[in-house]
Amino acid sequence: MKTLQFKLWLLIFFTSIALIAQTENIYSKSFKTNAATTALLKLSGGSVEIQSSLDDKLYVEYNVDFENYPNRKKKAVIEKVQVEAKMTDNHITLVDKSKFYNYRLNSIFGILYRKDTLKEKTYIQKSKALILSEIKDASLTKSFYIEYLKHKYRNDIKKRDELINKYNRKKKRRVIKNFIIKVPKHLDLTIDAKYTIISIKSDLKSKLSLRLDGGKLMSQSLNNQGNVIKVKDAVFMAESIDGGELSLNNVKKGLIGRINNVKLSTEFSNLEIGDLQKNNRFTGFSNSLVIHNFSDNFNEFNLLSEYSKIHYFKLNTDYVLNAYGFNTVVNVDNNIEKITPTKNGEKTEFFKIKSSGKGLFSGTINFDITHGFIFIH
Amino acid sequence: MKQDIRDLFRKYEVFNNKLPDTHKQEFYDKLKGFNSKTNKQLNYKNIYRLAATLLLFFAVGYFMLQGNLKNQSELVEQIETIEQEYLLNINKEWHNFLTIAKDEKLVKRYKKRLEDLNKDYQEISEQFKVDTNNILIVETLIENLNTRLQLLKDIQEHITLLNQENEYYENTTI
Repeated sequence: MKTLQFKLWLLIFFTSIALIAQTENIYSKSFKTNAATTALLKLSGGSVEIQSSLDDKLYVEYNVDFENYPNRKKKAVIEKVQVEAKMTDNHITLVDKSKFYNYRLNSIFGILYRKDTLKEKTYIQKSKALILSEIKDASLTKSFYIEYLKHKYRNDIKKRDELINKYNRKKKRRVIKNFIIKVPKHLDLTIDAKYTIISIKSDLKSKLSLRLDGGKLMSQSLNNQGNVIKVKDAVFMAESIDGGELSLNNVKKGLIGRINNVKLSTEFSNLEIGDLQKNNRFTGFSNSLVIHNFSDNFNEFNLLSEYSKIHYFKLNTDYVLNAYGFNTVVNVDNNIEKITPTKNGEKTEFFKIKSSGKGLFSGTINFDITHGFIFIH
Repeated sequence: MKQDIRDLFRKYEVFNNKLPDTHKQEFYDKLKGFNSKTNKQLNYKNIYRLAATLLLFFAVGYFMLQGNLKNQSELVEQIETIEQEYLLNINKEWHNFLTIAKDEKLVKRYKKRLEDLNKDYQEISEQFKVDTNNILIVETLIENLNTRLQLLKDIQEHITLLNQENEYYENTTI
């Protein structure tokens, strides 16, 4: 009798599993490549994960996981997936015409990450590990609705918890789209994406030219000297960037764990850096930049900036700061230390921190700042 | 005691009368007449029922369609009102910005940024025309307008604070 009961439970269990989660393979294709092969990915809406291929083939896989989803509605979702990949003259072109618009992403990100203002924000130094954990947390799949509730009712915890619990109690139908592209390391990859969530895994070695307008770019590491990455009206998070050029325009939330030897250009953006390492050159316009830590051997850091707020935290090592420019306020420990003259508009050296000559010397910070604020915390 | 049941019935006259030869045809004619009468009655009833159902169906369909169209046009109207309000505020903030911004380069950069955002807005508006019920597109449109307004407010706050600090510094150091 007990054996029969056990078998029945086992049967119910497996049937339930089959009903709760079902995976459908929608598209699967691979291309053999060589050192001269190039690839262009044109993405519009949806999510994509870019990984390194273990062999010399480029793989395209599109799977959809359905959770508690009625069979009669699955067909409509599957029909929305429209991926086309072809290879001509050693060039691979992949076009994702799937009709999953991520317009909502931008509106939710807009609400979640409103541009910081001088009046509201307090600045606390974060370690590199903390920035990395924030990036990891942001890359977890989570409900945008819960994030929205957390933000909207941040001052009414009772109401917030009540609504989150109500939402969690509901049996949710979910469609999880897994669009994975595996790229061989010798291949030069160009990505042109709009309203897309792009996730780049750590092992990607390819030279990357990427343009993203709207959506989110999450990366474990971007390590190629030839990389050119342009992100506009989107969220940008990278655990580590080593080499290449990065351009951020209207990035409401930008987080970088570690940055080394990068030419960065930013406009109308909010950016936080966990650990600033060697030979970085930044130019910016109308930004809020927070550098939480400098590495012990950052060597030289050059920043040219206009109409921006630059925050950094005092270094534990010996260093030099040369601040050059005009019409800029220097604020040390919340006290105004220096205000540059504005009358003639000529750039002068207006602030300097000299080397103490004691302990480890980590490097020189060169600021060229006009119409801005420098906050040293 | 035992009796044949057929003998019992033979006693009754009614069972001894012979039926006329035409009884089958007569019965058939009577049956036909009765059926056609009831069929006609039934057909009329069915037609009335069908007509009533169709009328009801079309009436409900019409009102639902009207309701949907009304809701859609209400949403479009609401969006237009919000858009007008935002654009008025953006325009007001833009003029405020022009009065305090003394740097041509700054004005040019902000003008370009606002033009870019307006271009994006027009693109999303085209999507909204195709899909007027999509709340996600509506949210994105409003967020675009809000971004423009916030940009202008932020830069004005930046300039005002900078000017205040400078005035204070110049007054106290003279």
